[in-house]
Amino acid sequence: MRFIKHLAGLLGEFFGFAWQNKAWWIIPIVLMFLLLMFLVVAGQSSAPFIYTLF
Amino acid sequence: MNILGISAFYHDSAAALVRDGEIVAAAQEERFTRKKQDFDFPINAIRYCMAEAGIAADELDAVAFYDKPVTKFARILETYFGVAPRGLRSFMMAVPLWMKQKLWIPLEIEKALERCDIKMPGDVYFPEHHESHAASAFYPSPYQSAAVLTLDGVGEWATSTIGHGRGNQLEILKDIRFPHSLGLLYSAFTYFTGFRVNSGEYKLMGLAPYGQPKYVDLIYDNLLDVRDDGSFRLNQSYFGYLDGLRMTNDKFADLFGGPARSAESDITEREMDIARSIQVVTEEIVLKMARYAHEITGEKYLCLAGGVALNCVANGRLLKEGPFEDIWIQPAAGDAGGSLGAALMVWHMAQKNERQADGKRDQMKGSYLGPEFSDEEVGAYLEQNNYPARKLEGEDWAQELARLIDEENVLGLVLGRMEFGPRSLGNRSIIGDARSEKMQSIMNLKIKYRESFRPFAPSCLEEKVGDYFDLDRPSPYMLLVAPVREDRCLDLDQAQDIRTRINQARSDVPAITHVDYSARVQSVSPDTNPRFYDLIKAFDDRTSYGIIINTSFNVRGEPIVCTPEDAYRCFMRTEMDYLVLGSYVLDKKVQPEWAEKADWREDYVLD
Amino acid sequence: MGELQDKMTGDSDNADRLRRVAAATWAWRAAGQVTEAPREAGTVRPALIQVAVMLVIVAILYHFEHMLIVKIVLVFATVSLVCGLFIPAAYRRIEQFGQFLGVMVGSGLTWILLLPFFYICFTIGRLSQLIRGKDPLHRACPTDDATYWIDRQPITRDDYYKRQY
Repeated sequence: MRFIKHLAGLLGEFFGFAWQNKAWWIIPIVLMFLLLMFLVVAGQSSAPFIYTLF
Repeated sequence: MNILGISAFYHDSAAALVRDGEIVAAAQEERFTRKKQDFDFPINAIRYCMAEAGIAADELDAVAFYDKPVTKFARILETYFGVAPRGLRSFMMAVPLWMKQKLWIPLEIEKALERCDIKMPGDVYFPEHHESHAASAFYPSPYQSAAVLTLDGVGEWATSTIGHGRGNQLEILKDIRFPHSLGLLYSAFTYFTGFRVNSGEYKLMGLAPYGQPKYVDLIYDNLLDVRDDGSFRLNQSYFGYLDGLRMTNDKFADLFGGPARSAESDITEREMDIARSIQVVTEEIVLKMARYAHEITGEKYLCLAGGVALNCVANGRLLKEGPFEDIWIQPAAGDAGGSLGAALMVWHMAQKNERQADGKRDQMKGSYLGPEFSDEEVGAYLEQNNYPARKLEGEDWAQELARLIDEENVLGLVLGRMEFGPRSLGNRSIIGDARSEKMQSIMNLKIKYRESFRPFAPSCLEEKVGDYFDLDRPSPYMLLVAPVREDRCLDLDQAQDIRTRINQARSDVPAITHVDYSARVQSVSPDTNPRFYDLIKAFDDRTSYGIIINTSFNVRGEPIVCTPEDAYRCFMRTEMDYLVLGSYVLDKKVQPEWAEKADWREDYVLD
Repeated sequence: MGELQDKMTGDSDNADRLRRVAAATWAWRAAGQVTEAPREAGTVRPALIQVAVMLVIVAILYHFEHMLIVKIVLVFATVSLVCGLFIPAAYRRIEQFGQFLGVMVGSGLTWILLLPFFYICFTIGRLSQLIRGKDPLHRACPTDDATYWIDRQPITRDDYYKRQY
């Protein structure tokens, strides 16, 4: 639930940014990154949540 | 109103707490985690700030993060648009971190506060990176109005800004934008001369006086285009930071007649000359920018922050040759200080609270804003571990320590509240006799385990600064370099070999006189640090020298010590003679044998 | 008298502050005490969740008649359940291996997903900039500009400090 709240907040920030700077190109890129977020590994961190289910 | 300021995820994470405009606490995360320049979310520093201020679960009113993550992320994406198809390696390193961490700042804050049992306040603020720097420079300064100059690597887009502070208002007037950056230019040379970017910049500055400014014209002719107002552009064809993981590229190496020095290899005359040249260029640009800031603001005073403001040689020159009557530099000028600036920005700009400066004193409390430990706590710790110690009280304390210094002992000193910022100012310091000819090399090689060319700084009684240095004002934060007074200097043959030159006595306070007869001065005031002042005063009474060596309490690659336990560990690992923990004095000779793995130095990444 | 009282209150406030700070930043007392071995996290719950997920997969595969894979997954589920319920140490080893595997798969996928994304998205973007003659990084150096300082626009947004942009 908390994650959903922050996700909505983040999307709101990016829409605000795109609106203000007329930089709509950022929206599809960010949506793409958010989709990939559950699959990628950053630095030396542990496995993403999705893998731990299996 | 309690405002928590946070800087995180780049280098040197930190937290600061401002209560009704007063700076209550500030500390860097590295001091608690013992990981140099720790960039993780500063959960330990936050926990400390909450404890220091005694904040109950529902008493935190606002949180301020020191930059605008969305703008910064957009800049990073635009950079890849500018360099693709190059830049893949940098992209693969940076973007996953952004996806999983850096875009989720409010969530990180909420989780951190939860771990500290603090309720997440409704208000989270995001001042811009350079606004945070500017706020950290102007709001705590003694001036009611001033010009403000910030210089660092890069924030969102800005790399340098000129601002104008008046009362509680702080306005950024102009900026220079990425990729044109004085901080990155200096870091590029740090990298090229074989030091670590983001921590080796001091070494480059320390190396500069050994060289000649042979490459100044080469730098101006090829690497950058500077205007009279100090604004500039860097010729990106020589740099590698836009599309790769290196600061400079092959074309840069060709320009300087060979590849970058590899880390830990011998330093040659070329590195010294390069260091001197880039130092000269940096100073000239800072001076031009300051003159322009003076011109457009018409102010008498200047406030400085950002990593480049830690270049105390440039600061010294700015004070002497610049147009301002006085300058004030934020002691935590790097990104750590951004946490404090962000919190102050919220108090004054977002909440519109008034500000009254008295023109004399700053609001940094001597930068002693970190944790302190009582004699009772220290005593109980020593007793439990059976570490023998003497407790000294009243005048005995200062007199006995002065005697130990006079006898050429090296002392580790842990007093009162830990300093905020990269400099040790007497509360987490290693101290020794500045008159001793052998002290510089003893301290470098046997205690700090670092390069022998690196100079040490003096701490001097505030009222005696003029007796030793060509400096007519206090320098409480060790951010000004000033010449040692001529009548104290000795004439020397200019030997060429760096080792010979290091070991020559250059004045009657040789341990703190750098090769160019300068010193990075700390003036000690009884108002901000009475105990440290008393100690130097006792040394003055005994020897007629109101000056001692003061270097940070750590070994190379280690963060400065925080707790007495950190201090004891460092004390036992090195050849320090005595350790002072508040009123307790520990003699190395009577301590129990220190059992530890022999390769503890591998725990620290050399800086 | 009042002054003395103030001083005493001040002293006790200060002692409280020092106690709080020491408790928050210096854990030597806790380190020195003989404490119980930290309780290891339970293995029953994660094992049950895992088995439930695997059973869902089994149901789907059964529906599509992939009987060999169904058998393999059932074996894994049984091992997980038995270890999770009765042999926690073995379950933890399996979990560690799973983590390791997860990191490996994740690292691989990071490259598989992001590498083409980088080349497709950013190279096309770059080409479009080149065609339009734009450089958002303003790299030209030197130029004829009288100054490289850029004027800031005054802040007009009310929510400026609260926004992440």
